[in-house]
Amino acid sequence: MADHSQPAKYIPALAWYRPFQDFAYAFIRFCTGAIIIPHGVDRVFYSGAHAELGGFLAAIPVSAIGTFEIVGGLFIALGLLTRPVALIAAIEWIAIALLVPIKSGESWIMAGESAHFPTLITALCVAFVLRGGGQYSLDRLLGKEV
Amino acid sequence: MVTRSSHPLLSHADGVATQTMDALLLLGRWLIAAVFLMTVWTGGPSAAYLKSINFIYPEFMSPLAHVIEWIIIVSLVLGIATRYGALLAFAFVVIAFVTAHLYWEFPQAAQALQYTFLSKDIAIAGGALVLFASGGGRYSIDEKLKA
Repeated sequence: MADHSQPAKYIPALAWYRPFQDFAYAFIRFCTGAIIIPHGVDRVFYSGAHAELGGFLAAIPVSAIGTFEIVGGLFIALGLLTRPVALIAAIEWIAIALLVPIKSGESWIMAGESAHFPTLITALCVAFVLRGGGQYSLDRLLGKEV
Repeated sequence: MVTRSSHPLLSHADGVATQTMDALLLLGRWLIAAVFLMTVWTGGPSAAYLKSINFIYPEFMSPLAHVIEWIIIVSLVLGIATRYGALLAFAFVVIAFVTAHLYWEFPQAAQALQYTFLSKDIAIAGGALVLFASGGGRYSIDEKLKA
């Protein structure tokens, strides 16, 4: 019976990545959390990334959003309380993505990284909400998750 | 059976306290968190204020204080890692009053305000210690994380 989870390789000898496949989800979860952290540090300590915080985010102190990004980013990276933290992060970043102004005559596709980056972070966080911390996470180590 | 807390004449409130303990712990956590929320929501302590009292590295310490205040708030409001949050709150206010609110070191005109800050911080430190001793109670995430 064919194994549908592992398609046949064109060149089996080149499948060097096999030993690392199980770490792929934890890797992308760690990187996503890690890349959120400097945004928080910037907001809190350097006051440099306030501009995109419009809408309901503008009503929340920047220090609160920055602290969430520092602590929440760390939690996502480590896979601790992954689902609730990723859900809040997804709400924050979709709000940021939707608030990026699109110039007259341009489309979202032409908006560049200021719109595309938060959209990507949102998509990744939604995936973490759906799947949780995964195999290599503190949630799994603790044996409990939301 | 309720264990008396004192002489029988002084223990008439024991039953009420025991029956409502978890709700009171929740309310107490929220009230302590409210002090920090009211401070950080208005940007306190600001770098300008810390500079005015010659606090070290005010531009860095102010945002650092904000981060710590938000961590304390979330910890106490949700009752997650409550004892750590209570200890953090205790350390925060002790550092605050030892370094910034010794009223006798201020000019006469500012002493009344600093006296108020000092007395408030001493009360918060006491509340944080009590919370550290008691834990978050049944209405907390800590309770859900048990076992």
